[in-house]
Amino acid sequence: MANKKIRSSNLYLPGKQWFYRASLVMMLTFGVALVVMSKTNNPAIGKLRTNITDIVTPVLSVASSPMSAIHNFGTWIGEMARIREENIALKNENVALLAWQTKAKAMEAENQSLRELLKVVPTQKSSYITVRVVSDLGGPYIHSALVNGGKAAGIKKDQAAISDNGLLGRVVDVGDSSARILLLNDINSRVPVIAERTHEKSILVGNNSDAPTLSYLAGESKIRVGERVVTSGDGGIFPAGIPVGIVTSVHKGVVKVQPYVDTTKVEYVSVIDYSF
Amino acid sequence: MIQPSKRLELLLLTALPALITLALAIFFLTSKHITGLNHFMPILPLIPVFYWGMAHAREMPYWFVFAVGLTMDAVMGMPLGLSSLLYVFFLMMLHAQRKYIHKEGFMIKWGYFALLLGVTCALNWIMVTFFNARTEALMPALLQWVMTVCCYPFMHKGFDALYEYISSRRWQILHGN
Repeated sequence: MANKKIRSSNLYLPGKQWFYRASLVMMLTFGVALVVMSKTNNPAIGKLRTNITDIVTPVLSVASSPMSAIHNFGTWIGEMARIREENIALKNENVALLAWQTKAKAMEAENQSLRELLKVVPTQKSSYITVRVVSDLGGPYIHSALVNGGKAAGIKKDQAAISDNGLLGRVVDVGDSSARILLLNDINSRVPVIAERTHEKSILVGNNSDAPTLSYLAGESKIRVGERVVTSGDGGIFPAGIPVGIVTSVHKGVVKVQPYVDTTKVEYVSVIDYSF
Repeated sequence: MIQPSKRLELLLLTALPALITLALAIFFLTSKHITGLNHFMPILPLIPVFYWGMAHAREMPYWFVFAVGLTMDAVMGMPLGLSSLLYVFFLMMLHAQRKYIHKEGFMIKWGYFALLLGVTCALNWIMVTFFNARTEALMPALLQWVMTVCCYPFMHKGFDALYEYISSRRWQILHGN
């Protein structure tokens, strides 16, 4: 009888069966409880999540270094291969930029004198906290990134995260030494934006695809393909004027926007410390 | 009487499958800078869970698989506990059929892995759809399943060699040369 019992269990001795089964039931119950609490946005779950990410972030930071080095080496090889063409292009660009610089300086001086004349209240100046992306940018169902800076570095919830090309997303979770950035294309992302040419305000809504869409546009919208979209500053979370993306399609009232930031190439991000 | 150094080596040999799973989980979570890969990155940690859960069940305990799932959920921003539940379910299903498949050849094991993974991915999709109250795209889940199934043979062969090494080394330590 005893032998039969051992054979049927196959994995554990009969004396340990009760412990094995009880622990399995407890684990499943704990798992279900966690999922239910996640669904109800229980604060304890947020705390548990940030505690885990605080522990894991240093490990991921070290583990992601070789991948970053390989990526940087690949980029360097690519740059070396086209260095001559790039040099010619940069020289041409430099000539154009110098002309722009002259115009910009004149406009800056004019702008300053007009502001003084009108006694305009100066806008809040932003400061930046630069951190490194240590995790992969989510999976099939979620698009977020973990960075190696948290409360200790001055990062707070809802701050905007930008890379060199434009807006990347916003901070949604902050631990002591880690923070999570929700990317623009995540289904839970909502960013108030404005079309640069038509000045039409709308909300950029993520849809888990590479092209988020504009919502709450007026019925007869004049937005066209190729139009730049920037943050509107409404709500006071994001500073106004951060480049977001470019309109790539307008079809049956659905306006798709291609974000400027290529998330796969982002290594460092700047979190904007901005208060309205 | 086993020497302390040999005892430590035995401990390391026992922990090796778990350490490999952990290393693959870390690799899965780190940024790889490859466009689009995060949409269908193979679920690499489930391959050692399957292999060692089949070959040497005690070296892939439920609590460890639960902890790996929990860590992955926390880092990826998924609902906490979702992957833990799915991975424990994956291991439970594996153990339920282990006595029938354990001695079978590679093709049967690969087929069973594909089936179990398919069920796990489908459950994941259903739970995320329920969680977000929105029908999620099926294609990324399907691609992730295909990619993981395609990775399995390479890792299986590597784990076969490792299993041989661990078994022989353990025998040497316990029974001498």
